[in-house]
Amino acid sequence: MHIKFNTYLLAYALNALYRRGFKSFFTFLMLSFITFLMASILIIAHAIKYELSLTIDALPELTIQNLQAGRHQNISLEHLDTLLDIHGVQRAIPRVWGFYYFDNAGVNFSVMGIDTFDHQTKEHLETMVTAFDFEAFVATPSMVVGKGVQRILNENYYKDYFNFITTEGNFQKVSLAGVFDARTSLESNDMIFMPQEIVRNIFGMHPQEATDIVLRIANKDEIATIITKVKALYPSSRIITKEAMRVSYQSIFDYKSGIFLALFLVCLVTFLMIVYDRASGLSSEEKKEVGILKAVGWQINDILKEKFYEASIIAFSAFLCAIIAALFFVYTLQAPLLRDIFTGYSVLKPTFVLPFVVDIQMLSVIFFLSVPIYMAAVLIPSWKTATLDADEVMR
Amino acid sequence: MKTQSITFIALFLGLILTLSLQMFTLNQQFADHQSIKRTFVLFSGLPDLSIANEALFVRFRSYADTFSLFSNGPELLEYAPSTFTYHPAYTPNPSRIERAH
Repeated sequence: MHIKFNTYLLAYALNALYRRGFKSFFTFLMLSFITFLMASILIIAHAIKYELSLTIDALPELTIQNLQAGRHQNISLEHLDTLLDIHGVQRAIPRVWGFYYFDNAGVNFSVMGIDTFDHQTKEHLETMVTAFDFEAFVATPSMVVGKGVQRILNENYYKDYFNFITTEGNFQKVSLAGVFDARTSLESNDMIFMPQEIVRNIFGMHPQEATDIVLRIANKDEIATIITKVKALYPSSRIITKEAMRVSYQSIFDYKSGIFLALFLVCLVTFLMIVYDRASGLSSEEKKEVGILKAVGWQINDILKEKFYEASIIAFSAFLCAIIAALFFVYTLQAPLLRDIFTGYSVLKPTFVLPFVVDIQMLSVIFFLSVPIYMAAVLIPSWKTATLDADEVMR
Repeated sequence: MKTQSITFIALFLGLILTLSLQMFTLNQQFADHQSIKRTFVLFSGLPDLSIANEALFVRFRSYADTFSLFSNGPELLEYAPSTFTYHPAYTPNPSRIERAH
């Protein structure tokens, strides 16, 4: 069917939609809403996936932990020199970190010790924390926290400091030196950074021990050999590669996409029900209209063209409105209600600042699941009616 | 008669323009987010997003839990061996799966 754009036919289609007033508006509203729901869920899911894959590149190539009787134990710093001697290892960094359970709020804070002597620490902190005074941070026991931690501490009347309870039952008072930039909220929300010696004191760790050791390796082809060497040197070690993390993320997405699919199917079934309702036949009024058009000399293809215009007006407008609304909902309003599906029941909910990424593939999926299906639902019954004789249709 | 068509086309183009402007603004607004997030992960060296922090669900399970990557997490039900950390690929000996091939 050759379609040449015809403004008169467009005006006729607009008039026809206007004549059916409420019905047209309701169809437009329903189609927009279902497309909006599909688009919002897919945008959030895609943004989270993108965020994780973006951050995974910044992770260390290898993380070495110590196991004893199948349990994770602290690793001795004596291993550092041996690890650095392995050919291909660029840096070996001991890390001190863990979880601090805050009874009052029932949440786990992630506490990370930082090496204040590392030349990059100051630079990194100044990038991520506004108006940060590094000298003051080093001079007194201080911490830098995520937005969520700051909120929880404020709710519990800790405005400028927090009293950690050490393993020996003493208080370790730590001042609040700064809060991480809200843009890092999805990563930093529950985190507390403070000098390693304070973390060791709180967790009761030996000065010659660390939680784990991370290795930075320049050439990724050497990773397998380095793993073999570390395993031979320290048989009780557990080695986690960046690649293993990537694989595990993939399995998480496979599982999560199952949940999305379930939600998505609900939308799709609702949508198909509307389509079925339309496809099961035109209303008597619409049939009468087709009959009159045939009686005054319109051919089948003219009627189909007109119906095509009608369907396109509704489908394309609804699609555009839905995408605009979904982007506004997810990025400006931070997806109220829907974000709860992703963040669960956590007390320490992060602000939902998702990365903005336009994925053509995702937009195509939304488009093909809404526009062509609706257009087919309008055109097929019209074609069925238009092929009948005019008097038969009007009778 | 044509006025309606022109009004509709104008409205439709308005929608396209709104969408383009919205995408452009969001792109500008979020342009510097990626670098600061990367800096943060580079600094902390820890994975995962800060989404679940309840008593039962600690973060960084891949590092914090010995036996499985996401044990008892709200995101994933365990099923061996794909979500388990221990697998035989680190050693030069082939795994049972590799041997089968």
